[in-house]
Amino acid sequence: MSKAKNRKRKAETRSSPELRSHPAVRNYTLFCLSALFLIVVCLADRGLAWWCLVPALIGCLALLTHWDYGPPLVLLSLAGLLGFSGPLRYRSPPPGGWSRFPTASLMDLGLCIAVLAYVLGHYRLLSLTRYIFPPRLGRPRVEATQRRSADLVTGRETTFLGLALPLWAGLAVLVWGWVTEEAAPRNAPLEWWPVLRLVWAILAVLAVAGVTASYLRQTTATPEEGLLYLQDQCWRLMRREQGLLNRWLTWARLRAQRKQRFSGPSLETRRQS
Amino acid sequence: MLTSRGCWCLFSVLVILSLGLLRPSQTLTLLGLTLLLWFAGQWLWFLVRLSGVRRLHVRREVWDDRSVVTTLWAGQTFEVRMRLVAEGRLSLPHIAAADRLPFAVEHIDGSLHVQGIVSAKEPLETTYRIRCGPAGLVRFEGVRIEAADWQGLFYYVHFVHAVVVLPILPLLMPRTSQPASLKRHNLLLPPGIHRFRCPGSGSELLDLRDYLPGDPPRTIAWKVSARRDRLITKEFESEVPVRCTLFVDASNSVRVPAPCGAGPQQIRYGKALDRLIDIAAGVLQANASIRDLTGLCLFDEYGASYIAPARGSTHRTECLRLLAAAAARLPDQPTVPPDHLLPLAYSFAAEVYPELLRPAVNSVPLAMIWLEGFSGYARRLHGGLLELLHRRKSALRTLCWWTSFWALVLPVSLLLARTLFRTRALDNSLLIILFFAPLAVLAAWGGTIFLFGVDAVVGRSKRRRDRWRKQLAAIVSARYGLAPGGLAVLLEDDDAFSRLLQRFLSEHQVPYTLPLYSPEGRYLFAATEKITVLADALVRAVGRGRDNELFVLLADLLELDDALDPLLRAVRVALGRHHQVVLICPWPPGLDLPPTRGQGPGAGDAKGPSSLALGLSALGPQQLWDHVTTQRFHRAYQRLRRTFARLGVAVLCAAEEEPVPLVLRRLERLRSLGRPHS
Repeated sequence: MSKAKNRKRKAETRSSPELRSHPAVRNYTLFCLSALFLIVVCLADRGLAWWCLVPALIGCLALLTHWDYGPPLVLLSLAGLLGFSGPLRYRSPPPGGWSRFPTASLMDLGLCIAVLAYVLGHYRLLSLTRYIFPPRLGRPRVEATQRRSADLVTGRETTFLGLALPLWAGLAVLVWGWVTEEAAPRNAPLEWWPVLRLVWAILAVLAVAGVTASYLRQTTATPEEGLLYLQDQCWRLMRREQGLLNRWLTWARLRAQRKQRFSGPSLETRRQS
Repeated sequence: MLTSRGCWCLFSVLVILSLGLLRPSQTLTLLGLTLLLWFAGQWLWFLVRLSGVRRLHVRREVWDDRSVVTTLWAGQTFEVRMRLVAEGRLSLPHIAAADRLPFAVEHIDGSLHVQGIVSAKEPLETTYRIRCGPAGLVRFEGVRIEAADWQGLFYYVHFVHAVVVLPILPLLMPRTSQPASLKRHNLLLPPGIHRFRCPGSGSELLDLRDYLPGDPPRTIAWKVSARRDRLITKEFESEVPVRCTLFVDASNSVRVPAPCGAGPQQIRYGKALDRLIDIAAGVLQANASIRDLTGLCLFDEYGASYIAPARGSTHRTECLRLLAAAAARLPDQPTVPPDHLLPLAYSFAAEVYPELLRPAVNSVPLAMIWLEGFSGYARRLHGGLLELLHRRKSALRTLCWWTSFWALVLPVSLLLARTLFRTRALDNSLLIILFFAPLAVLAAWGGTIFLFGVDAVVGRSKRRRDRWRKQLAAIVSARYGLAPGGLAVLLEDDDAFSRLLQRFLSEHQVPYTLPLYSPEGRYLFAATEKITVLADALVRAVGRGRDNELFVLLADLLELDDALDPLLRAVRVALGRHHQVVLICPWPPGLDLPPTRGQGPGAGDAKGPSSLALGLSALGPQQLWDHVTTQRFHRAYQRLRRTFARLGVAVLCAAEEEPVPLVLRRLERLRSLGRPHS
């Protein structure tokens, strides 16, 4: 019974045929297919033979079924192909460190652009056909209002998407160049120095972004949020002492009520009457 | 903020980057770096644009067929136009806005949802139509905003508060036999003025009598005086307005939903007060149409508010507004366990106040959830031992610390004592203590850990309840000015928390149900204090009133036979002053109507006790409960009717269609020529 219900729910969340034939959906599907083709070309250039078709096949399948896990699976398959295509043993960086690697080739750049294009395109397609806002807790069924309306897709959006792809890939090449160009300090492990720099750079960016986000949130907080924050801080500091006091006060109040109920009207009431 | 889609994407990107760095592979590293930079860029861009989302404004207008209105009418249809406006030049992320429909109205058509990108030049707009429910208040809370990037990797929920409270006035139904409100002939009195057979300054002749010194000469009937050969004076009728004062019960007992039954009437009349207000509005309108004076007195357990009889549209609107405000009040009962209201209140708060439930401002420490229990002294514990264990976890922890403390202190003190006094008893005690103290500590800690484990396994729903309670207590404490110490009070004091939760829900017009009976089986809403309040209000109205008035008591007096004496005394005072009194008793919606005058209370059960017992045994528990409740109400109604019949006061049931025509008939009698109690 529950399986049948689940199937029905899934069928309801699938996009309708009208939506599939919408120009925006069609364009994004074609965009993703082109990106997958470019991925195949770049992988074939690396001499991966028939294995180069694996990410593309997964991607095509995910595109046809509008599967949420398509992009992660394509990325993981690429990681598997590129990372484990050689012998399965640890390879240290070439002598002289990462800077001895040849500069990024056009095919590397193409692969980066193609993969980014596929990920971007597929997620935007999912926003049109499945959901852009995650389903609410306790409501597994995706409603139509959680989808992005395909009519809202403009030509400007696609143009920006096309321009953004080489920009991000170029930025990555620049960052990688900056990471590998500087010589390691004395006594530092030569081969791991760029890795350390990259990790620390990422952590520093994350910390700065987190602090900025927190600051922005606090500056735009309403007075109610501010009061709640202060109350929360005060309570966290003294919650055990306050809890103990209030527990006894409540106990005393309830006891007095119980006594009053069983012993009739209080002295005050008797005086009034 | 990060959706599950975003989490999976980030995970894949990190796997690629890590693999690229560890293997090492320049292509993979470059690929991972490209994706990571893109992901970080999207996140930062989303964060920057979120400040714009928090500055959105809502403009809402409610239209009838012609223009914008600020007052709604029960059962009527209106159009709501909502516009979401952005400030600043920065473009916002993709936004879906959903206008929150108030509980008091019903959505007819049009969409509550609208999505797109908002900018200063292009606001988001939506229009929908609503139908108002019974009289009360409509509270538009605001608009729920969901923001996401185009990929659906990041997500943010915000609620734009734009509170608009509009009264729903009771619908004024046109009467089938409307009396003339225009003076068509000169013989008729102006509307609102009625002939009264009592000497006065009217224009119609009432009687002739002998002239008394001091009578004005112009009233002397010269022809009659000439015939009788003595001075005769003309007496004229009085021309008076007819006054009607409505006493509407707004106490807890009429604000609670019906105890049983679920017929089609229950959808229209969720509580007994709605029907009372409809009757009051009907009488008010009928009187206003012929310019009679109508007063209003709203009373409950705590006091009464009184509007003296008057006429005019301003007075009528004021009365209707008061009735609407009374209808909007929800029942309150401080002794109700807060767990009953927690799910409703939390889900409402999660929808309307998502910003106040964020961990950054309203955190729930893990230690509190897993290691501490609160509300240790509840009025009544439901759930037995496990509930007790969950709430008294702090006591267990204290017990452990004290055991450890004494297990350390006792041997040390005994050892010190032994250095001073070397006695055999001391040695034996030391030996026993040294043996049992570690065992006690071990047992205490072991037992506590075991009990904590049991609570951790079976107490999932309790932990969720605790989390809800802490967050809601923080919100209501800050909202009602109890901060900073109020939060701790509300976590321990069930009654205070329950009262504030009811206030919170009531303020937001969220309908909630409360248990009608206490665990001991007492009806929680039978407020006998209102009888005294009503009696005082009636006596005060009689004191202020003149002759020829009608007092309509719209009050729930069922099952209050023991406390009716003050009211009966007040009614006697009113009748003694030649006023008329009518009592209209609200009837729980969905319950069978009481038998009419021809039938006795047990007319339906005339088949004999054995067949009745057989019939009852065939009923299920719910039907049996309904049957018993119905019979109880019927008997109470008959008792009430008999009590007031002794004074000559008519008692009616508000569920019937009779009350409004009956009140109007009584008024007609007052308007007609005779004094009713002459």
